[in-house]
Amino acid sequence: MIWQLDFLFLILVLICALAAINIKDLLSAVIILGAFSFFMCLLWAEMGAVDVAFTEAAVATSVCTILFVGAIIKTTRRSKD
Amino acid sequence: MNTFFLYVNIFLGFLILACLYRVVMGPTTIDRMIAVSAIGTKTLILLILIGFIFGRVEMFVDICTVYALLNFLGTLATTKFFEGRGKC
Amino acid sequence: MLTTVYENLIVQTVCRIMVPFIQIYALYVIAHGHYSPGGGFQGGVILTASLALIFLAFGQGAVTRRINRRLAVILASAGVFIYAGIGLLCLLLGGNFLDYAQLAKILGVTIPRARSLGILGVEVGVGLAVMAAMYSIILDIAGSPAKPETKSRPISENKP
Repeated sequence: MIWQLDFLFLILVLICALAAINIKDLLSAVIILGAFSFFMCLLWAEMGAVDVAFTEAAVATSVCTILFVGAIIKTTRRSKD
Repeated sequence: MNTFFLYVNIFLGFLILACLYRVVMGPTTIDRMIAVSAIGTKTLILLILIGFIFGRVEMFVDICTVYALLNFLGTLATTKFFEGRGKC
Repeated sequence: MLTTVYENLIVQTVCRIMVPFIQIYALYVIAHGHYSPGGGFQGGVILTASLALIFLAFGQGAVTRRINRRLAVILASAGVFIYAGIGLLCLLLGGNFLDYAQLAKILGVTIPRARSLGILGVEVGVGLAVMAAMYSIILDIAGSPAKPETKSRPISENKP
């Protein structure tokens, strides 16, 4: 647990999460969630939890993006609120 | 040696902040896609350097290989969206 | 829209090169689950990623020709059957559920080796079940539906 890296990754995660909520275009929000998953994997690897980081890397990179884009294609692309 | 890797990590973190500006502010969707792809490459290096700081590199090389193999699936899936519709 | 074939030469050639490497790496992750990060679930997800790559580059017809929906359900059930089967086998041989030491009676090896082989068998079962289940989820959400069977109507039905 290195506190400098911890601080840096938490700031990056916060920026990504705030951006993903406030954007009205849902496809761009999906791309920002892809970047969010990168930083979560880094955070978990820095805490020492390598299995969790491995699962996050494997799942969020390949399967999650395809499922989200499939859902957006079948519904709307603009957020209603 | 550990402090040298720590400073390299922090410098890479600031470079990731620079790419994150284009992810958040990019006027079009394709800007964001390319910036996320660039962030993925830097994440690989960051993971291996964290492995060096902890002293056990061989565990972290496996995670990096997963990212190196599967990094482009997200970009492929997103460009499928634009295929029939044009840039709308 | 995700089912149209992406007729680009570069994407198809890269897919042809990358898919065997991704699958061999997934088998490595399943087999080394006890020593390095990974295991059954992570290896199953990476196997699904290889199938998703074929789905994105060549279309739904190409990947359905290799593993169709019925085979995916059969594989998922086979994975659960392997897991529960090994557990029940240990139960029938006189121990607790998933007590791998009892497998030494039928395999004829030492007890630590029987435990290692039992764990490997369970990981293979989990990997198979996870791959088939995630593959069928991707086909349901991101693919076009299978053609519904039309009910046959008698030809001589005349509306007044």
